[in-house]
Amino acid sequence: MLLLIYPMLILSVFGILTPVISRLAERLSLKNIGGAWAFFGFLIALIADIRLINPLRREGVLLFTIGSSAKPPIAGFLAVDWLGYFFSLLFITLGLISSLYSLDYMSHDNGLEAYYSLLLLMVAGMVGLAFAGDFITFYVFWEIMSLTSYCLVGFRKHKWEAIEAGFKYLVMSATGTTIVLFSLSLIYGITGTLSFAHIAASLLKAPPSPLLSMIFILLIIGFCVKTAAVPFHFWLPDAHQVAPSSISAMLSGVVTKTGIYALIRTLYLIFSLSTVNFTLLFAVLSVLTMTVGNVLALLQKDVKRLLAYSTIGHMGYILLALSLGTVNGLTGGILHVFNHAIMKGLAFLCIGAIIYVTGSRNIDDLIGVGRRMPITSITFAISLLSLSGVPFFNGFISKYLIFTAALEAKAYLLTVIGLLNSGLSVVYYLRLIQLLMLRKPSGKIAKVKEAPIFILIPLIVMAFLCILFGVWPEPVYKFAREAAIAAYSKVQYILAVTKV
Amino acid sequence: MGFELYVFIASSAVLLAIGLYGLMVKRNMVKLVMSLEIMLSAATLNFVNFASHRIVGMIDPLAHVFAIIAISVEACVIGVALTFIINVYRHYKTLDIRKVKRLRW
Repeated sequence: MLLLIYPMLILSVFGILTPVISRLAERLSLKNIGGAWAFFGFLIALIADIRLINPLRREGVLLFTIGSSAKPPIAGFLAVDWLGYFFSLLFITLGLISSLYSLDYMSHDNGLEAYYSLLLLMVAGMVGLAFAGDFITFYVFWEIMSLTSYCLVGFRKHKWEAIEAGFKYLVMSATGTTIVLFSLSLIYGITGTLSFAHIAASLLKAPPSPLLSMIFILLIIGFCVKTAAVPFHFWLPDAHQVAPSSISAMLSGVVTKTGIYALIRTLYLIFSLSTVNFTLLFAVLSVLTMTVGNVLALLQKDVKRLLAYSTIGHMGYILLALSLGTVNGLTGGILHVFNHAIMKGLAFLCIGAIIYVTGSRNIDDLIGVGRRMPITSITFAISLLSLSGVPFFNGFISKYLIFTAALEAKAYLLTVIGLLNSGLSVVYYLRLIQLLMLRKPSGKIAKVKEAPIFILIPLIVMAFLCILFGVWPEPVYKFAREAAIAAYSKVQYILAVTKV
Repeated sequence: MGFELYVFIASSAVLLAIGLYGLMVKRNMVKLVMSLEIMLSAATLNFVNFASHRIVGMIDPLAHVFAIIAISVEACVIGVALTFIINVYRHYKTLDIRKVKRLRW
C-alpha cells in the first residue's frame, strides 16, 4: 500500500522545503509565504490521509513494507488500523488549524521559516508513530516528534523562561525515551522481534512473570512522561506556559496524546490483562493525575499555566478510561482524546489571541478583557464550558461515556472520584469566565481591540466543532468505537500482520 | 555462552543505574546530558548482546540496525540539549541546575 506513506512524505517534504521557500519569498519581499506554504502542506496531507479511508474499510489493517525481501519480522514497516488512523487524522487536523492561526499570531517573531518547518516535521513524526507497525519505526518517529517539540517549546530563545522550560522538557522526555529503549531491548531479548504483532503473538499465552512485569513498568514509565501522568508531570505546566500559544495548543492537544496512543498499544496489544494486571496500577495513576491536576489548577495566577494543569486533569480522565479494560471504556477514552484536543486546543488559541492583543498572561491584568473582544470571548466561553462538561458541548459526551463505562465495570469508587474531580474543575473554569468576561474592563484593558482575522477564523471553526460534536456526536462516536474495537481485538491485528 | 550473556546483561543494568544516579544527583547540566548518554549505552549494549546470543552461530542484523539508529538519533538529542545549555548559560550565567528554577507552581 504505497498510499500509506503519502501523508508523512508530504509533510516531511513540505517541512524540509519551507526554509527554501521562505528565503525565496523574502527576496521577493512577500510576507507570510512560509505560513501559507505550511498550511497548504497540511491541507494536502489531510486529503492524502482521508484517501486511506476506503482501503482501510475494505481490509481492516493496511501494511506497507519496503521492497519484497524485507518482510515484517525482519525489517521496519507500517501497519495502520482504525486506532492509528483515528489518531493520525486528529494530528493533521490540529496541525492545519494551528498553522492557519500562526499566520497572524507569529507575525512579530523572527525565524519563522524554522518555526513552520519544525511544525510540519512534528506532525509528520506524530503521523508516523501512529502508522508504525514495529518499534524501530515507532522509535524513530517518536524521536522526530520529540526533538521538534523541544525546539518549538524553546522557540523564543531570547526569553529565559522558554529556555528553562525547554531544557526541563528535554531532560525528562529524553530520560523517558531512554527507559523505553531499555525495555525494548529486554523485549527483543525475550521475543527476538520488534514488530508489535509478532511480540503480541509470542506473549499471547505467556504466564505472568517478574521479568514481564518489569518490562511493562519500564514501558509505562517511559510513555507516562509524554502523557504527563502525575509523578512525571513536571515538564508540562512549564512547557505549556512558555511556548507560543499555537504550540501550546499542539502540545496539549496532540503531543500528550501520542503518549496515550502508545499506552493503548502497550496495554491492549502487546500485553493484556491476563499477562499483566494493570487495572489497579492505572486506577491509582488516574486518580493521582486528575486530583493533582485539578487541585493545582485552582491555585494558578497565570491563565496558560491554569489550562496546562487542567490538561493534566483531563489526562487523568483518559487514564481512568484506559484502566477499565473494556471496549466501552476505551471508546470513551478515545472519544475524550478527540474532544479534549479540540476544546483544549481552542482554549489555548483563545488565550493566545488575548495575549497577542494585551501582551499579558496574568489573570489579574486581564480582568474584563472579554467585553472588548466579543468573538474571542464567546469562543473562549464555549471551550471552557465544554471542558467543564456542560451538556450540549462535546466534553459532556465523552465524560458521560467514560463514567458510564466505569459504572458498568463496577469501578464505583473510581467513578465517584472522577465525578468529584469534574465538579472541582468547574470552579476554576467558571472563575475564568467570571473574571475575564463578566467584570468591567478598566485602564489599559479598556482600550484593546479584537484580534486579527486569521486568528479569529480558527477560533470560530473550532468553536463550531465543539458545539457540532456536542449536539450531533454520532459520526465521531462511531469512528471512536471502531478505533476502540480495533485496539481491543488484538487477534485480528496479529493475524492481519503475520499472514504477509 | 550463557555466562557471557549474563555478564553483559549485568553490566548494562549497572550502566542504567549509573545513568539514573547521575540524573538524580549531578548539578552540572552537561553532566546530566552525559548521564542520559550513559543510559542510552545501556540499552544499545543490551541490543548488541542479545543479537549475538539469541541464536548460536548467527548475529541478528535487526538489533544492530536499531542500535546504530538509536545512537545517531540520540546524537541529535544531545545536539539540541547542548544548544539549550548554551542558551541557559547566556541567560543565567551558570550551569547549576538547582539555580535554574525560576518557573514555579
